[in-house]
Amino acid sequence: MTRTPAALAFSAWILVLGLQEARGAEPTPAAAPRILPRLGIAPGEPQNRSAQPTLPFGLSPKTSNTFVLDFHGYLLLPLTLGFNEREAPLPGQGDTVIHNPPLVPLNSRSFDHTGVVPTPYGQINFTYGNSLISATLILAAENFADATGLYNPVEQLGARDAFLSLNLSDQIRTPFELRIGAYTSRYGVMGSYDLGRYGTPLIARVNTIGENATIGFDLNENLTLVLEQGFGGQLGKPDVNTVPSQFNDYAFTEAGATFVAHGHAGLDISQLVQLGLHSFYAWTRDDTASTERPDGAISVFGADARLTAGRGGHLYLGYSHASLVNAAPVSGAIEILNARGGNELMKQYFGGTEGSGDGSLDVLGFQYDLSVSRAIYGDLFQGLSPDILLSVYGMNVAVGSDDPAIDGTSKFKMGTEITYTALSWFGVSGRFDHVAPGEASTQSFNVISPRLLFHNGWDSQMEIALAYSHFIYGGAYVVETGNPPTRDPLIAPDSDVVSLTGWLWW
Amino acid sequence: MPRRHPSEMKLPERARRATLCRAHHQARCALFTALLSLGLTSAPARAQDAAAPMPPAVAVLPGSPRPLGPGLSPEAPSEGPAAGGRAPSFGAPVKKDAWAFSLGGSITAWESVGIGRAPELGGPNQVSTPLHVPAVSEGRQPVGGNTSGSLNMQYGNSTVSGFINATFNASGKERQGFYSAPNGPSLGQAYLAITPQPIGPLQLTMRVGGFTENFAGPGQWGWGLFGPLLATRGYGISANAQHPYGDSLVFDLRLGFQAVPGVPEDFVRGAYTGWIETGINSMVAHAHFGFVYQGQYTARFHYARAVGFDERRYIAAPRDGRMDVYILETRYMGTPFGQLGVSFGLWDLEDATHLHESVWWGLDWTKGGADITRDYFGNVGPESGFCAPEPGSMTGPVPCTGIDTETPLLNANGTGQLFAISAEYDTSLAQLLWHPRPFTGTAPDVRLALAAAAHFTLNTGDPVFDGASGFLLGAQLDYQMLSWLSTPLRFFGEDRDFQFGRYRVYSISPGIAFRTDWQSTDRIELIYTRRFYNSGADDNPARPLDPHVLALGANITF
Repeated sequence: MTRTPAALAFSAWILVLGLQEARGAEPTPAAAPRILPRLGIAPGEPQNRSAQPTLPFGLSPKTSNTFVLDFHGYLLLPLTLGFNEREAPLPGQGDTVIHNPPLVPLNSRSFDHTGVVPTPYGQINFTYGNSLISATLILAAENFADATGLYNPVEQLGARDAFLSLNLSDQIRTPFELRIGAYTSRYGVMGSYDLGRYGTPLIARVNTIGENATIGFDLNENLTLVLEQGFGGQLGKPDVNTVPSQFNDYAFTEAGATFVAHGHAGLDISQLVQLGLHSFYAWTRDDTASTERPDGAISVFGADARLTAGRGGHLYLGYSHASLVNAAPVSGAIEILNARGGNELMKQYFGGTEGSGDGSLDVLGFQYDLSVSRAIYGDLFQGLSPDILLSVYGMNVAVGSDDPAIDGTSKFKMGTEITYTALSWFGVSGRFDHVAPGEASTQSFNVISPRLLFHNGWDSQMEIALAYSHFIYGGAYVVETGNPPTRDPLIAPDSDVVSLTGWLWW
Repeated sequence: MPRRHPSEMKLPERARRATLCRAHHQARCALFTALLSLGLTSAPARAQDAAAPMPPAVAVLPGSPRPLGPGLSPEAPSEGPAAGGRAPSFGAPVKKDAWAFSLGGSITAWESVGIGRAPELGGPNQVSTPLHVPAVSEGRQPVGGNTSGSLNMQYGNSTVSGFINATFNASGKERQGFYSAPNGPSLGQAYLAITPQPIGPLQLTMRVGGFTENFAGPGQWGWGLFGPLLATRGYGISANAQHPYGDSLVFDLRLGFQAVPGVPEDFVRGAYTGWIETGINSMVAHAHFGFVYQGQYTARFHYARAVGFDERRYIAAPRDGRMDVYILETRYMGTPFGQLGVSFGLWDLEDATHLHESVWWGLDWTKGGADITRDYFGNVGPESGFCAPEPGSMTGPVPCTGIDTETPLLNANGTGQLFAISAEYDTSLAQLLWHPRPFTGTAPDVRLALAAAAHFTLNTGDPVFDGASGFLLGAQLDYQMLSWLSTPLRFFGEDRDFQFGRYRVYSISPGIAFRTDWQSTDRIELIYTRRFYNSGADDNPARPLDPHVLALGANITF
């Protein structure tokens, strides 16, 4: 095999860095903390140093006999810049324009969404309780007011979830948990521990206030059966006199009070294979909503399989069939592919909101993740040395409708991501996505995203990513823009996006 | 025989294994060679002792076990993984280390009542002494804040930490008579702070996320009575390098870039959102360089350039706006005299009304390009392309057609230069008198803060504001006579040119304050303010400003 001098130089550079890392792994005395002179003022000041909390933090209520307070959080903080050329700049305008947020497919409720370009999100979870009972309050925001100069009520989610969890496993001697309150339940989870590369539950998401019960039975040493059921409804609905506007997220006033019942059965085989069956029924019978629309319902049936094969990696396969009957007034108590309720499903998949909301969606998806180092070294590899992570993922949606123009159409997207973590603090990643939201190839687009990744350790819980994404659009692709997001054929989407993103989770 | 990591083998053994590899497993050998060439084997698995039984991998690796259950924990965020596939920790097996939580914040509650005057042309039921909440007044307020709480949550270790600021104002009908949406609750700032190990004497720090940064305020802690001369906001990054030279000199350099997300042009603004500019993308790059000598003398230069890309389609002439800010900050701080800070600023604007608010604050809390244009450059500029509607018409401005009877409307374009100087002196009388003995703050004291700022408009297209000037005066005196009792006295003055002449507001505010100890951060205060206005400020005879304001409030920081 021959190598170019540049490739050899690159390999040598990586080797030197790796050796330096190896030496750096030796424990060194911690440097004395230094007090830095103040250059400016830290955000949030004036403030004093924090007093220690009187309640113990960081102890999971599940392991405590006494009441404790637990605190978790997640921050996704991107700077995203989209670059475009003005077709006809006016006096005082340059040729190049920079958009923030970029004019690219960003709407997570649309099939076009890939998650390649991140959008801001943060949540903080407070849990108080013990091993028997605990209460969780989650505060969340999709933007941060001081950084935007705008108070957008829709983006300040406030108390997003609040629920009680009752763990009766010790009392009935088998795993059993009852959850009551307002929370979201997501099924069809394509990632190992997250929603997957698309950030989209493959089967359904339920946003209700209600109950959820989960029980597990050990059938033998290798088989565990998990049963789960849930029931709930939404806390309220828009009044017919509500004026749709941006501050109420464009309320759909014909939505009725919606309830969701769902049941699930899962079988775990030797912690190697997990099989699941899922069923949902969401319906509305509300005479205070619309007098013109009949009662609506959305039913979903799904099945998925997950392989957690150790050095063989993680594989997820899922399928769901959603059937919509007069679904327009079914509210966002149920989400399918992140589209809230019948109205948004009609908008995204059935050609508009004019119809009654009849149709079907067949969704098929997969994701496969592999750690190359683990594949080679098995448990010798502890995640504390270089690694290559490979991921392949995809999703296909087939639409059934009474409208012959819509019936039989499909949407497809697929992608791959390769991440090379070379050093404890540095890695590189490349992602490619292909999205075909329409039948014609000219309606599709591709995204190529090289990234530089920075961490504070091999197994860090933070990341700073400097990414560039190049979008290649088909000639007939129309991007969503404005508020509310609508497709505007007069807008030329951005082809180049640079993002700098900080993640932290704990 | 368990397989060993290549890094645990000596080189000859590696060669033998490589030969065997070639002989028996050519495909895997090729993969191994490829990985070796990438440096994969250069960093051995730390602390991986082949002789000891290996636990299952603890990192979040594909293929690791996951919690039982058909769905996802409701605590998991509504997002995909981080770039590259690293998963959030919810339910994932991760190690614990010495991460810690800290909580700070403040709680404030103020009631401020304006005692007014009857208008000259009052209605039939006009009361002679109206009471207003909030007070109907102009100028600087001697007490700050309304009824609100702020929590600053930080979680992390010495290297990396996350910060979230949450603000809760009294927004309900119970307190204001209506629901005031922009009062929150809201998450205002969130960022990651990274402090790597020092590289020799060089200390680097970095901040990534959505945050604000403030610079060049002449007050003791960089803020002062009249605020910073430069503040930036948005999503972005800020990196700081600090390097000492010898025992007495420390240089520092900070670079930052932030962008404020644009709001779509068709976004319906209202009192519930704040009146931000729509259709504009705005960003700011800033750099700061300075030194501290002997811990007492500071000199620092600040530069910021904000640019805006205006894509509004409803205005006739959208332009790309620009604002350059140059500030020299100087400061002396030492015992027993206290601190003196003087900052000099120059603002150079071009079409700054086409800027959003990436420059959060300029002189005297002006936000973005629109505020600074209104206060210092005037609203007269080029023709907007729109004309005033016909008299009696209920419509807004209409596009000009070119006939002689039309009245063209002018756009403020925010072009010109502004110079300002802002200074503040803070001292403690007890510290002066006790010197050379140290004063710990646990005895009677008089704290004094004197501040002044002057500004001069050097150039603008609005003839009313060309050469305009003004000044701000401020003084705060707090006589802490007992550990639990003090008497504050505050004075503020604002005197400047504006489009209708001269604007003047002065106020003096004596009061009484209670606290739990000499150094405690809690305070209960009752304060009276007498306000004096000239006709430029108090210019509406139908609704005269309140000359008297009585305020009672409390606050605590922690």
